[in-house]
Amino acid sequence: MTGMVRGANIALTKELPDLARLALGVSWDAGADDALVENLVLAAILCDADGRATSPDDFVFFNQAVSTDLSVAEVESALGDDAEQIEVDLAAVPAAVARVVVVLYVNEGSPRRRTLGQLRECRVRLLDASSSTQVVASENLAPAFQHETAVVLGEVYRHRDDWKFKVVGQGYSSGIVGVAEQYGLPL
Amino acid sequence: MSAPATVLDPTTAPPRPDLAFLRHRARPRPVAEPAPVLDLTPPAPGPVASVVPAAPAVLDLAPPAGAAAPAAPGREPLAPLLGGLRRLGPGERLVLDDDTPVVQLGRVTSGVGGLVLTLETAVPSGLAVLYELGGTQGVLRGPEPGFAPDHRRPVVSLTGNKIQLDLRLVRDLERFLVAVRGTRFDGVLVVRTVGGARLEVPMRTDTRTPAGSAAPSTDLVALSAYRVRGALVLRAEDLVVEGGLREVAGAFGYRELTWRSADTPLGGS
Repeated sequence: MTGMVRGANIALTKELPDLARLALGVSWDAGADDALVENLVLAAILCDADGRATSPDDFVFFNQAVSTDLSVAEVESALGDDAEQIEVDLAAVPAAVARVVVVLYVNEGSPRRRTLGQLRECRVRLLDASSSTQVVASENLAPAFQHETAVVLGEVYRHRDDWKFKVVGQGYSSGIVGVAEQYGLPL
Repeated sequence: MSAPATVLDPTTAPPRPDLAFLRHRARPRPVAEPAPVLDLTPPAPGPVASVVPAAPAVLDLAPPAGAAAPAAPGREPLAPLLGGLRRLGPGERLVLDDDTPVVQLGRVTSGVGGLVLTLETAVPSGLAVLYELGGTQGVLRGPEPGFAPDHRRPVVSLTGNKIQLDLRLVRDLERFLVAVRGTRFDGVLVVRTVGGARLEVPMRTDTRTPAGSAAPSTDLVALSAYRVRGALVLRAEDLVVEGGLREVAGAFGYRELTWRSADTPLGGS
């Protein structure tokens, strides 16, 4: 399976006019590296048109599983084979939110340091949450990872009256701290 | 057998001013409905009352009454964080003292990276941390390194003068307590977040010991912490407790621990 490459995008609502709720999922293969898997976290940052986080309450992850407007939520049981998923209710996303940025990071809270370079495989995919069917999946993003401890996997973003999705695959060796700084998210 | 004695209900019985040495305390009864929102609006100048209840066994995230209908099936708003508490800002340096004894970390600060607590002092001191993880209470006591719940994937680690908390597992951490052992107390307990914020809990020199006398080792409880609705609430305690960690545990409601001696829990840790 090849999948969407970094930088590729797809017009979601143009191609799927009935798409109301989508799930952004991540799947990975870390081999036998339990310490890495245990510390991987999927998160979403709701951003304005300038690419800045709309509020610290709109960082959706395991400890804050739904955004204030309820439009974006961490899914408890992922659909299909994904390890974790974030669900987006497109109609409920407030006008001020122009992008939902999906991030995978290694939580660095223990002395056991791991990096994304230890992943053999990492793909982001987008599903229609109503039907649990895959819309699109990325290529394997793992080969490009080295010392990074966070990666922006992709973005669901507004384009005029439509929603689009693009694969980003941008790694940060500064980890979630670097991602937070990039998007103006206070930690 | 004599007739049964009249049983009085503590809530309606007449007061007994002649029994001044006895006091009635009521513990909030467990309720099935959503936990009430604690009103922690700051009182008029005076000591801040300790209003944080004993840690609930289950974190209740039911929405407050009157919350809007969820946008998607099963999606409900998060319970609001406790009101009236000082919030720690990103990169902020804050001293916890009599004016500001309590601070709340937001859900993001409480769930990203780790918390590192360092005892910075020139006075010989030892650290101990009591904790409740996944409903189980325990204690880590120096000088040997300690890890809870286990060495393989610790949530709480104690090495020398440093305590580390892995916030990836903050959902398992109900509460913890930091105590310093010494004959006198000086220096600062510093709490650092991944976002660069820094909390400082000063320990004042114990002036109660007459100069020149051989002071016994006691414990100064420096900091208590509770996870409330996903956010860590930290409180400077500055309380000296005599009688060992067993007394510290009793004073702060860590009652599930059993003790071989004043400082050593059964089963070790």
